[in-house]
Amino acid sequence: MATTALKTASVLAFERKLDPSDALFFSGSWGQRTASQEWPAVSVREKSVRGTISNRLKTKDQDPAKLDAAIENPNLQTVDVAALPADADTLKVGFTLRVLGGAGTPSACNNADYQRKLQSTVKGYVDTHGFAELARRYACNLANGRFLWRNRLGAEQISVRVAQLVNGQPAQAWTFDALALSLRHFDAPSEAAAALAQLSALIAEGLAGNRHVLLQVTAFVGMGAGQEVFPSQELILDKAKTTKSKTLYTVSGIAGIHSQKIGNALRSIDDWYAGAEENGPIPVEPYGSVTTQGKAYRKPTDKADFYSLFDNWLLKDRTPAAEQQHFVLATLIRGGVFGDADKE
Amino acid sequence: MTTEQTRNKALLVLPRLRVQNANAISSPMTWGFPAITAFTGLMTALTRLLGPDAGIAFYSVGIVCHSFEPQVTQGGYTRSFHLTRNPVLQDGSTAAIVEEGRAHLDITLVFEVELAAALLSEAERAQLAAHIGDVLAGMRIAGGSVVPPLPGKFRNPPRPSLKLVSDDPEERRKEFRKLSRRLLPGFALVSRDDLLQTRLAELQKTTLGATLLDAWLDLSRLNHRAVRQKTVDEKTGDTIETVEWVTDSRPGWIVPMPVGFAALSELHDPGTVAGARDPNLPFQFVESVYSMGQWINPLRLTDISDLLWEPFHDSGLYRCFNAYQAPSPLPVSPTT
Amino acid sequence: MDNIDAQRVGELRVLIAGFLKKRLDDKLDKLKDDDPKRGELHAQFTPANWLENAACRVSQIQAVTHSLKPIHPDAKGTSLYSPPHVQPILTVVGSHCLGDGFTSDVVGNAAALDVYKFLKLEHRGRSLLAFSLARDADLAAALSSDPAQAQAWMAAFAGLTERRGRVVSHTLAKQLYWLTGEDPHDDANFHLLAPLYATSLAHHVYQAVQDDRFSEEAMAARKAKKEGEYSARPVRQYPDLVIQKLGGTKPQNISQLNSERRGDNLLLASLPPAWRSIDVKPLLVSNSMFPRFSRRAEVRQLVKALLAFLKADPIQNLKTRKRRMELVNGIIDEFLQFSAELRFLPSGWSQTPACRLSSPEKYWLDRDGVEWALTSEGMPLPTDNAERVSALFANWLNAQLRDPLPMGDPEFLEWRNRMCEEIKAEERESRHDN
Repeated sequence: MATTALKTASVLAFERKLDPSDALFFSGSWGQRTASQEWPAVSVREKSVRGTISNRLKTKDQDPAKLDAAIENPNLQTVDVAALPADADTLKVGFTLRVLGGAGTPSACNNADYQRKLQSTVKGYVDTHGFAELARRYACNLANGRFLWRNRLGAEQISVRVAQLVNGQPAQAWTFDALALSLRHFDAPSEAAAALAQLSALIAEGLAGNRHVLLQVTAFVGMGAGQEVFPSQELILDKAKTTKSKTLYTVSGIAGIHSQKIGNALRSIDDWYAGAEENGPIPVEPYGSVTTQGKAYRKPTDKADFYSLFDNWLLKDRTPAAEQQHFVLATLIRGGVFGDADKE
Repeated sequence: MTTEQTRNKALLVLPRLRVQNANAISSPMTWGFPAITAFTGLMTALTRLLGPDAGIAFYSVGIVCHSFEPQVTQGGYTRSFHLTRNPVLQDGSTAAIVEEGRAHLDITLVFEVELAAALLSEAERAQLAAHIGDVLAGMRIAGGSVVPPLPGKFRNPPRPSLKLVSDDPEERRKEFRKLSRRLLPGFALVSRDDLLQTRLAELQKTTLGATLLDAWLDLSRLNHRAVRQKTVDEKTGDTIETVEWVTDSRPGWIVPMPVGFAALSELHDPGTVAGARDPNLPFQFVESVYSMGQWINPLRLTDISDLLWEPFHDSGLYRCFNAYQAPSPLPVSPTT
Repeated sequence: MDNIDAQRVGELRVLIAGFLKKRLDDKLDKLKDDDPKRGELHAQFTPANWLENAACRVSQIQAVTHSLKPIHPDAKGTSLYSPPHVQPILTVVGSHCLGDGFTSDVVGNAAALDVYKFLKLEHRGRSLLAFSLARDADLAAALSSDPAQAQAWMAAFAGLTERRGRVVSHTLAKQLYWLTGEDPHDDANFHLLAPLYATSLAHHVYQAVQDDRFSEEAMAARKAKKEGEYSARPVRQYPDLVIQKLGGTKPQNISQLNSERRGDNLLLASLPPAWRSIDVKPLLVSNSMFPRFSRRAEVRQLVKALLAFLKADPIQNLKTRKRRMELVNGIIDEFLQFSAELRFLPSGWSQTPACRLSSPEKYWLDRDGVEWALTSEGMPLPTDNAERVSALFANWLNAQLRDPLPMGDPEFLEWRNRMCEEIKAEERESRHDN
């Protein structure tokens, strides 16, 4: 049979298959966790701050009179802050996570041959590996509380409860001691192994499309009464429009973390790139980019990026190593527009 | 359109859907609530996902908004969108920001449907409604995700329902009133094409060459006009001129809205346009077209058809229609 | 057979020469007097050389009315020149509303924008592009004494509005399915629609809005309004206008007009009524719910209309009755909406000391809060709340109308009974559902 060279579809897009909600903040006492339904929301308030003289004073500036003058003309601005009330020592962070089936099935694809090849390639992956490895890592990132971001630092204790919701009610639930799990690797401590295995199996079933999976994730972060907490910060380009130098995210007045940021933490499962030993897992991104570090760890020049791996796999039948296959599938689960218009 | 012989008409109500990060840029010239075409598109996508064997056909969709939280800056005369940072590029540099507008919505969707004869029993209908609710939960609505209601909003979140529409007009009216009550608090989106035409006629009386676009802009903004009033001073008998600034009254909560698309090019044959997302379909370049809409208390609607929007296509015009007819204008003076 | 108008030809020549001289002078000004490049520039800007070069470079740009890049800056594909007069007249707003005075945009290589500026030169209100499109004989004569040469150049210039290359869309372009047939399960029953950005239309709206916001006339009108003075020009406000940035720090990458707008794309607000749960506050301090209810725009409008209608003393017939009922029903509908908003608050808000509403109002608006409080004290629940709330409503409505109308018991009973029917119907339904 004559084969014409298969080309990447010029229109190719995937929807994300791990779809978290925003995470919302509530406050209460560690001892009252079972009654957390009644906990009040954490709100965001504005605070005036005086701009400080941030540059180290030069010798000639160390004139008391001059310093006074600077203070008399302060750089007044407001910032948003959020904190636990004085009578609450625990932050509750709650969100839901929908796990959708159909990973590898594009939401748009304009090349039937390519789509057939894609389908058979994904099927080959699923037949060999299933979604077990990916699900295990996603489950770990729920259990270890990575999604808490800065709120995880300095916490005295963290309890993460994951419940499967069926018709709006919890059907089964698992509780994890988040601080007993590492952020550096995905090996479960023995006391969490059984619960993690069950949670992983459920996520894998959801990804496989065998059942509708909706998880409710609730993290209790014991941090001490009155402590500052850290919702997402809004990205506002036109600073002139707001007198505020920092705007925190709220939903209906409740402080929260953007769903995008939750998703970013949950897909921080890529430790299959060069340099992972030192750097630890990074979010699954086509170029292995880490925004906070301003760095991309999977460069096309090293043929370790998603496009190189994916094209080799589909177009040239050069099957990547198992862990790179995981990365490719995880990128499809992440979703995105991957069409290659130049190939048409 | 449906005909007399369709007896199995029913209303599918998907109540209190919370949609996170829906697309708030409804067209190149409007922002706010997602475009009506996003909802008629959802209707088609849902139909296709359920498949021909589901025994349900969708005709039109009604939208009630219970709450709306746009992700925009507050304060100042204008707004801008809260943005999201995109991943850095392969060389580690910051990617250009493509401004997207997002909003969280709480909405109820009402679909006018027709059911296969096998699905008429109450149990069958309840089962199908629940199934559709599940399917929809995994879909995107106007680009946003369906998430559970915010905590503390409902003791028992309302469930999807699928009710047969009665043939008796009085019964139908009662049922609709009952449905409308359950849509509170909230506002239904209806069409006010009539306002555009009326305002155009008004403008043309005073302004030569006024266009539909002028009428649209005029209705999309607040107009404050100075009015000279002459009064006679009772003591002196002098005529005093005073100036009063009045704001044009608005017949309800009126908004500019995109209603569909108009063709800009010929209809290209399937497969002739490179980069088309489906090589098997005819392809046409289009632009958004606009009209006026109104957010109205659902109790003010008298018939289900007042609520429903239906997609329509005729030679290069692709738009959505809604049959709401506003009652004769209220006799109020322009100072409100 | 062409009739050459020598005067017109001369004017066109002057126009072109003036354009070239200005550009040449701008470049020469940047050079020192003895720079050897001066000679080169003089050669470049002779009409024959510059026009030949421009006729080549015009293919790098395209005049458009509808562009792709605003949809997504990385999208590559077809943009279109579809002037208003070729579009069908519709009953909805679109580019067809723009008259002949529309502004066209240009996309493509920014280095060739000078050619566009050349073609936008106007002679007696008509652009050189329009002359070229019409293959105007006078322009031909003005361009070159060689008719073949002139025709070739005009043809090239006229190509400015033509679609470049084959028809292309893109993975980042918006493309949506529209059902055109009866059966949505049949793949063949769809069209694929690719919306482009109506840049000429957007520009017109941009100019209108900017004029209303920043022109001297607009500012003067605002000042007059502030000071209570007269102004013939109205003050126009665009509430909640969003400014969306297209092209980020490089608006010129999107299009010429986008660059002129500094990348600002104006979006008119199409917002649902501004109530979010966060905006609905518990009714505290006030000892009645009606002051807040009365302040709602819809309520004010309806009450005003009802008052005006009754004051006019309409004849007592069926039509009058129907009209009156419509208005009263409208007020009742608004009352139910108002109540539903407050009922959405977390229950128990009426049980704080700051809440001074009457008992029936508390029970009406915060049912769960009151039930919880009463049952925990072993007290019975009220059974006649519908009547009591309806009576409060009827009293309120009578008070609105009493000045100047003589409202009394019959009216009170009418309003009360209407409201009571509504509440009872609602109660029956909610019992049935639970």
